[in-house]
Amino acid sequence: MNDTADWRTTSHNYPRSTAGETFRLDGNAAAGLLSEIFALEMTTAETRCAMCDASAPLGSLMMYGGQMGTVLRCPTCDHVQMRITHIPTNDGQYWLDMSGMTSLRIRSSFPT
Amino acid sequence: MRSPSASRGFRGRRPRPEDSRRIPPGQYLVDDFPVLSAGPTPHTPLERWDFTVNGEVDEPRRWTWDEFQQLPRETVTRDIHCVTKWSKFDTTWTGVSVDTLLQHITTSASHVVAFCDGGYTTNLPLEDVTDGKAWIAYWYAGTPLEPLHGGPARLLVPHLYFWKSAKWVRGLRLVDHDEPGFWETLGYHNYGDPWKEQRYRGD
Amino acid sequence: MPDTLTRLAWQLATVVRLIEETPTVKSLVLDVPGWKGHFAGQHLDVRLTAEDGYQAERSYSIASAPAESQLKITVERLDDGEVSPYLVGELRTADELELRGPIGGWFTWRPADGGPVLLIAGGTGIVPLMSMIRQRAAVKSPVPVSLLYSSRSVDELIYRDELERHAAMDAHFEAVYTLTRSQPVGWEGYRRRLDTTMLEELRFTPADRPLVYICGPTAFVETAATACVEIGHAPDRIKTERFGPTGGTA
Repeated sequence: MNDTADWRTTSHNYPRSTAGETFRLDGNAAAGLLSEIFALEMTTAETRCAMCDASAPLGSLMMYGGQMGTVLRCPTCDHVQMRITHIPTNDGQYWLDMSGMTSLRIRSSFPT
Repeated sequence: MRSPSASRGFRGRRPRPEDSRRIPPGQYLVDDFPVLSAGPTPHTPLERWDFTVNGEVDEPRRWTWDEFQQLPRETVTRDIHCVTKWSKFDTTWTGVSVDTLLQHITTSASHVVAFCDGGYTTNLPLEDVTDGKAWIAYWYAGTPLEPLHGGPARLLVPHLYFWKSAKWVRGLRLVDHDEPGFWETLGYHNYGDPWKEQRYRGD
Repeated sequence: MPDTLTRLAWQLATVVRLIEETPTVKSLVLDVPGWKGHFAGQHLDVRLTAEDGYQAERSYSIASAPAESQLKITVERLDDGEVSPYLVGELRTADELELRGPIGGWFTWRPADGGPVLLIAGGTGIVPLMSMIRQRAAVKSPVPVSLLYSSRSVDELIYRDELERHAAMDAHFEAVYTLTRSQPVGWEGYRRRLDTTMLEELRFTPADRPLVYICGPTAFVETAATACVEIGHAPDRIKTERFGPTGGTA
């Protein structure tokens, strides 16, 4: 067990779960929240994973967190690419961590 | 910004009126056991599971599942409180007291970081996991803790908001400085006392 | 057409009509001032406010086609839900409903995206797929579509008559059903949970390289997506919309 791994990095020692999940959603479900922060449509943006380098549309990331916040994980390696919380303090503020993503390519209009 | 006017006839979930002194401010009572996770459910086989205490210690300790089962166990009943506002009274857990795990350890650490399968972490002052305040629990309500609720074993620290009771815990790292964990680095309170309603940073 | 650049604002819609689809499912026909349109597959967020300011928010897939003049969402009442019993039980014509949308550009299908298209629905997962089916019909798209719709019983099938009409009138539209818990006498459809055999009996093979859209409870979607990949459908042509554990928002 790699105890020095921080929370961004999934342990390499446990078997990856590929099915049997009942709670997770697709990143597309974060569209509303993302629309509060970003001006452009984000679910069609292409992410690049900082851990495994895979590219995927943000809408296809695995979404967890429920009412605590939004955690978007790489569909290939489960790495936490993005975390968002919406805290009610000071009329509401957002905390955003995108350190698990090397880059984001965002479309300025819907693909034609 | 204009405040939205009420949706005619909508009431929403309301806290139950009884036991109001037993329930921390802003919480409501539930009968079920809501599930909330930051990642997929790990399924570590017991023959590969171990529990480690390391960091600022004279010597790291490690127990296999079988060895862990041989340690003195306790059964405790406690109320639990989630920062998302649900509370559950009289939950019963069986596990090993953290005091037992730290029994023969020499340390100058002030804090601990709980680390878990899947990468989740949470931080606590060492004094909040000692003197009968914390357990590594592997049974809930008399049966083995299911993976959905953190099994094979989870940290149990009922006097703080339940995000501190880390699921799928695999060890405690003792540290001489505080190290905010997964939710603590994203706006949640560093300590999390439900009776002081310490939900978010700055509360 | 939907605007990608305007920050989504909450707005008040008026309930125009309520349609009983099944004993526990209703469609809400809404008048939304200034609605700029949507793409089939998108959803909207609904926000309810109690007298004391308490708020609850949920997402609902848009059921109507972009080409339709009236916006429709379809909601299943969940007994232990907080919002759905209000929308399906309490809400009346002329009531106002706060919403924002359309939301979610990734899980969409436009006729220009082509096909063939394989739609797989579990329970209320049929809703966003219905928007796609309706849009295809509205613009008379020739794109071939195959729908596999899984439900617990025949009473819980939503839009059944409409789907049967599409199937009867359009040789390029196939609708196949499986009822997993109970089947009426004389039922000729499938009687079990979705599996690879069922997928292989549909019109499109992986060699046809269909666009695949899967929607429903998370467990259903994961089973279906795994089965699709197992029989050879390309993972990058599969889009999923998981509804979470209850199969619909509560």
